[in-house]
Amino acid sequence: MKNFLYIFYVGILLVVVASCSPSNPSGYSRYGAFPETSEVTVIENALDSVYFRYPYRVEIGNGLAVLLDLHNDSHYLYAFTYPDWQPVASFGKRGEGPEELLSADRVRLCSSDSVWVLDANRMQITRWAVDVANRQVSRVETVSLDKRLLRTLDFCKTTNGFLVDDYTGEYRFHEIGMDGRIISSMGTIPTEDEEKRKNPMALAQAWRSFMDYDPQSGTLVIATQLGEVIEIHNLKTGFHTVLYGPGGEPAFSSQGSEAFPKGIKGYNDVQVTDKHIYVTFDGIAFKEKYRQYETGEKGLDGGQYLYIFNLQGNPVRSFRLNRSVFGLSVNEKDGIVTCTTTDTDNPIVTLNL
Amino acid sequence: MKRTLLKFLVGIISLLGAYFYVQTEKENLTDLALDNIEALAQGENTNLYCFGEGDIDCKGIKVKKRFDGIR
Repeated sequence: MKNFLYIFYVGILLVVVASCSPSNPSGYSRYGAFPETSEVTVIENALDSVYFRYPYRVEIGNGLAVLLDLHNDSHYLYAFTYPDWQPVASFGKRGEGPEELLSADRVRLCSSDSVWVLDANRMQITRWAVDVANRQVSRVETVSLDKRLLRTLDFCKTTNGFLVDDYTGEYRFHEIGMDGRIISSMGTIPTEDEEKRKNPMALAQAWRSFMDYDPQSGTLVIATQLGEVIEIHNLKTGFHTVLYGPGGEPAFSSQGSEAFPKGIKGYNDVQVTDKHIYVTFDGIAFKEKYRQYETGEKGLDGGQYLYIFNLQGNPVRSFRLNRSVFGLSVNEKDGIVTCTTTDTDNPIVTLNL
Repeated sequence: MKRTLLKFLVGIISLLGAYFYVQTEKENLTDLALDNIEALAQGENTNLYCFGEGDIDCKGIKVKKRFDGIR
C-alpha cells in the first residue's frame, strides 16, 4: 500500500512538472538570440512649434511626415514637411461632430492627397489631402467598415482596398474593398492553447496586433501587442510562418467575452519592406508596469528594443535604445529609422542603422 | 489502513490547495490606481475596469491597464 502511495504521488508530480514545462505543440518557430545586437543612443528631434501629449505613430513619405497623438487635447494628427519638420497643419479634430474623430488608431500616408486614418470607434477609415502650400488638410473621403468586423483596430492600404485585423476570433485578418465590405477573411489566431479557442472574442482581444503590408513583396506581417508572436503571410506566394519569441503567446485571463492582459507587453509597431521586418518591442511585464504606476515611479511607455528580421522570419539584428519608443517609420534606403517617444518632450527620435 | 487513507486524503487536499493558491493570485490596487479608473463597464457577469493613459484598447479608450476586479 505504501508503494502504491509513493507511485501515485510521484505520478502526480510528473504530470504537474510536465504541464509546467515549455512545450511546442504547434511546431511554430522559436527565436531567441539575434546574431548582432547593439546599444544605440538615438538622436532627439525637437518639434518646438507643436505640443504632443502621447506621440504614438509616425508616417513619412512624399516629403511629408504625419504624427498621430493618441491622447491629444484637440487634434489626433499633425502634418509636417519632411525632412525639415516644418508644421503644415493639424487635422482629425477630436469630438463627436460629423466631421470629427472619436478615435484615431492608425494613420497610413500613401501620398499627399491620400492620408488614410482609422477611427475604430466610428468604424470608419477616412481619407485626407494635405495641401502644403496653403497649410491646409481637408477630409475628402469616408469608408464605413463592414458591421461584421465588429471592431477594427489596425489596417493597411492595398491597391484595391484595405487589409484589416480581425476582432471576432474566427479569422486573423480580412481583405476589404473600397466600399468597406469584406471581400475575404483569412487565417486563424496561431495560439498553441486550443482551450482558448472556446472563447474566440476574448482570444481576439488578447491577440490584438499591429500589422503592416509591403505591396511589392506581398508580405503582410502581424505582431502581437501582448506576448511575443510575429506572423508572416506572403499574399503572393502563400508563404506563411509564425515566430514565437521568448515572451511566448499573449497571456490573459477572461471573463465573459472580455480578455484581461497578463504576462508581458509585446510589440508596439511593425513595418515591413521588400527586404526586412522591423518591430519595436517592449517586453516588460504588466505586473511591473502596474507596480511602477502604483508607486508613482516613472515607468517607461513604449519599448527600448528595435528588432529586425528577414522576410523568412530569421532574426537579423537587434538594438537596445536609450529611449523608449512606440511607432516607427523606416527609410531602408538611407538606413534611417524614425520613432515616436513619450519619454521626453521631443516626440521624435531617429537612429541610423 | 485508516492511517493510509488519511495520508492519501491529506496529500490530495495539499495538492488541491497549492493549485488553487496559484490560480487565485490577484492584483491589488492602491488608492492612486483607483483614483485613475477612467471607465467601468458591467454586464453579463463581467466587470471591466480601465485606467491610466496608455495604448491598450478598453471600451473605446486607450488605457494603461484593463482588468477584471478590485480587491
